Amino acid sequence: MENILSAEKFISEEWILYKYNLYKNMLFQITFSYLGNKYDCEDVLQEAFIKLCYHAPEFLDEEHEKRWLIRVTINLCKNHLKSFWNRKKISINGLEEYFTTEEEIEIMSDIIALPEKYKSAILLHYISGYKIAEIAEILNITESAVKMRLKREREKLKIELDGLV
Amino acid sequence: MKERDLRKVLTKPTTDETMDQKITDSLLNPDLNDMNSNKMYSRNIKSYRFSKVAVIVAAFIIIGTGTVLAATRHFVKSYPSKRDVLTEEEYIQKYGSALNVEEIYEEVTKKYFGPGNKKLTLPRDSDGNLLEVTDDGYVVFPDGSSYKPIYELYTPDPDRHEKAKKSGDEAFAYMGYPNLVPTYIYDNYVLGEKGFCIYETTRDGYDKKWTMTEFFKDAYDTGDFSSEVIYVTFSPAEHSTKNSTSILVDDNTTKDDYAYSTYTTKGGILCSLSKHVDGNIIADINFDSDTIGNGHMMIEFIGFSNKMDTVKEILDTLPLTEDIVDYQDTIEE
Repeated sequence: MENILSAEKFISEEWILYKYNLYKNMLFQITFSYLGNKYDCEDVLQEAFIKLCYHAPEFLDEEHEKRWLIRVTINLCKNHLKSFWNRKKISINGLEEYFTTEEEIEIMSDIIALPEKYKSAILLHYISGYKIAEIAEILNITESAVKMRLKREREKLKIELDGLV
Repeated sequence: MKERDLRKVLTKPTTDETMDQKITDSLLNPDLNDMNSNKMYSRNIKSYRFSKVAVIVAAFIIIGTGTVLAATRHFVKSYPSKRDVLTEEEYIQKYGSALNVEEIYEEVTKKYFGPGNKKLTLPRDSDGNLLEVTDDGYVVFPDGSSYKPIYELYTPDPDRHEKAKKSGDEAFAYMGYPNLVPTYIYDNYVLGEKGFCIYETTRDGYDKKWTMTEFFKDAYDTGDFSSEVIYVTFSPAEHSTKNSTSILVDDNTTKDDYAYSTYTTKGGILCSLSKHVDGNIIADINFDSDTIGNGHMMIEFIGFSNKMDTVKEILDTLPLTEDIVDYQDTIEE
């Protein structure tokens, strides 16, 4: 096993690959919903995993680590979009690579177009499977604020509830 | 739309083998470039940044040169900057043709003034203290154990702030101007890796030069380089900037997404501020001067959404003084 030095700890190749495979798709789905194209997502994903491997704090457990990583990834996406030069150039031309029907492409386009402020709640719920109280903890907002964000996003996306929340 | 359809769409994209390979390679072989997390954006930023250039070119139609002065503050007459936010379609309707970014890009040559700085930190312990590094590159832990990292260690240049100012002197002199970057930026931020970039092109019979430069937070103790980033763009103007208008071509935002205000610096310079709903702040400074020449400066502040006081403090150190000083230290939000 090859050990790699981080600033604060030794980590193994196996550990890196395990963590990458554990989180890659969830984080890719989150970044895709913000950035809308594979290439920007790849950059953000790479940076998020580098932070996890080389600049992360000590975690209490794997759930703590997962929540930290989600927050970092969302913040990286937002940072990426902060500059209007980036925002004006968001490309969603690659949707066909992932979605086969016009309906799916339309849904994803609508998701990408959602205001950033409200998007994280819906992604944490539908991608990561978190409940309202957990989302409130992760985003450091009140449960009523989470409910309001979910409600507004559902209205924008015209979602019919399946009774899951 | 049903919830299950939304969930299905959201969870459909997955990474592919190529992406997995590239990312895990970079994680397992964190060499200098890979460890520079911010540099990973370079491929994207390159094209975006160019778009920025194009917009600036379109926005500031009048380009000219001035005369270098040795004085640290320069007397100018500042004017408000008008900003028009248009979609590409609106731009075409208004101006008859699309902004051809690629065409401008093909004509641009770049000249760099550095050296810039890398966004890399040295190894630290959990309390943030620097770990000892031996001459042969081994990192020594407090318990005496040592390890040779597989990535190159980067030591920030202790003279990085002075060198940045000197590079700015040279870059602005190349355009025929004194260094116009606010001194606060030189003192508290770090010149981006590429240094000052001067763009040059000849269009419509004019030789045009402008600079666009990145500064990032001096965060070699924390690695948090991206928390505050500043882009300084300066474009010389041949004619008066009194009634010039800049145009932002953006399909994803509207004029209503910006809160517009003004700030008059302690030197009396009028700065037109645009704060986007997402928090980034743009300061536009238009000025005319018989001595140094006319120009447009645009300073973009990223990561300053709740730091308007810092933005004002930075603008106060613009090396410009209004010809008739008007101390109006207020901001209209």
